[in-house]
Amino acid sequence: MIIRFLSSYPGMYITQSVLHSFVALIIVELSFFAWDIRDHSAKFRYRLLTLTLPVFMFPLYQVITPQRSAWYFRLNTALFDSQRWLDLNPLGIFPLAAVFLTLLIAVTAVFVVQEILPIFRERSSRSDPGTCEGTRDTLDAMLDSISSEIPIAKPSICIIDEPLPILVTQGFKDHMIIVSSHLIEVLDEDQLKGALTHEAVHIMRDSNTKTQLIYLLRILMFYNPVSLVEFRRVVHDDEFICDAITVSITKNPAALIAAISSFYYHPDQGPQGLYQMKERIESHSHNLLLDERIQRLRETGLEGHERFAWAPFMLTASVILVMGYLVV
Amino acid sequence: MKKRSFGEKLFLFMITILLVTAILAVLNWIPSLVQKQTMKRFSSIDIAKKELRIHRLFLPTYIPEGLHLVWPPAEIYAQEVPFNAFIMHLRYQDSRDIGLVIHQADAHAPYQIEPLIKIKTTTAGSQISIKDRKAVLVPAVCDGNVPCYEVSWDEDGTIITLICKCSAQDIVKIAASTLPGP
Repeated sequence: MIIRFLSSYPGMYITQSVLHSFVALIIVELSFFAWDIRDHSAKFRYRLLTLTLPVFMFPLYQVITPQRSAWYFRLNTALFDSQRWLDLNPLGIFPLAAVFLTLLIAVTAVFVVQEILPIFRERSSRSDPGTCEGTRDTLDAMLDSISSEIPIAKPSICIIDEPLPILVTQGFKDHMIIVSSHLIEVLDEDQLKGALTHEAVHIMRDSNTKTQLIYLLRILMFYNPVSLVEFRRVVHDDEFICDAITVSITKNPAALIAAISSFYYHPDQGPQGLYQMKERIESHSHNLLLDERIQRLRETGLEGHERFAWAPFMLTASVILVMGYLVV
Repeated sequence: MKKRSFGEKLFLFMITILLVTAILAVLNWIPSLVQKQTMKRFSSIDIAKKELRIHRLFLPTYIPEGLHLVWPPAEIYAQEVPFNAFIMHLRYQDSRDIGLVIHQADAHAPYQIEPLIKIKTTTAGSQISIKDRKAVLVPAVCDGNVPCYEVSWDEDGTIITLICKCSAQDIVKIAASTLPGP
């Protein structure tokens, strides 16, 4: 039954999109090495290939070559035929197709727990995250100065009374920056300007819309382990890009580093439950990202953006498409 | 650190792509080491028979000259796993097009192996007799909008199917020649 499902069009779409994602991931990672790509702005675009192309590759190839999934193509033209592996039954207990399907189900479960349940939990337990306590003249003046340097409409600002460091931008067209009173207290003027500029750069780059679109791709590929990883990396790349642009505007990497440092989070050492473990893992990965961002800012300082080279990008995308065609 | 030129980067990129291609090719080859009897291509009928220990094979002894089909078959494929199947593709003398496909597969096979000559539309088939076997002859239109015929019957648990871009008389003659007896 499993083999029959994986041989059907939906099954082939699932199998091949996962394989295409893996191939794209490997080619993109190797491209970073071969083309000497270190700039996160370029990495962001390359990683988008891994997320976007596999969504369309299988239907596109089927339109071009309807016989592509038939045995004749698999045997004579394909570079890699997934069915040869999925049909294998090395221990005589269950075929590898069952192992593959189990992996996809596990990834789907992770997706549901990590991405879907929190949305419902948040909705059902939504208490007002904090009411805006108005604004402050210093912040207002700071935003005036920032929006004169960055081509954006001045966002509104909302200060919430929270003992945690919170700084987020809401909205897609009319933006609002939400900042916690704690952050205003712990950061000095330069650091706060760095942090607010970082948010303004997110607005300039339309990060919220981009993230939503990328999230949509993530939802489409809910079963795909590569999308699970790459979605996070793309979102992280956006932070690196905004850091680099921020520093190029403020010319003060030290202030931004200090602002980022205030976001380190260490959960209380409480009982050893599943929830605590999840929180520790999340805070660890959050802190790792902060480490990386600080490290990157220390390494690059005021170095400007590298110009994006389209030729290597197009070549890489073409190789992914050709290779994908031969992976069935 | 010295920056690499575009040429050097391109060379490095090509090397890495070759490496990925080689890895994929090796990964594609490994299953054939574990499971040797799955579908593969053979250079001759004798080699296929020997390697897969095939005892019963239905080969045509007559192919009308006017069809300009070449014997031995241009392509031979066979498998024992997941079920027995033997496929022959015969090309025309003057082109690389396949003019005749002969499939022999286990009647209890869980799925059908799609023939290389694609049948686009079929009309209702008629039952005919080929050397006392009940067979079904189906007039059809194959890829390239070429008129073609399909004939198939069950020969003691083996489904034999012929698809030919030829006339009904010719395909029946070829089908009859695969069977013993007058």
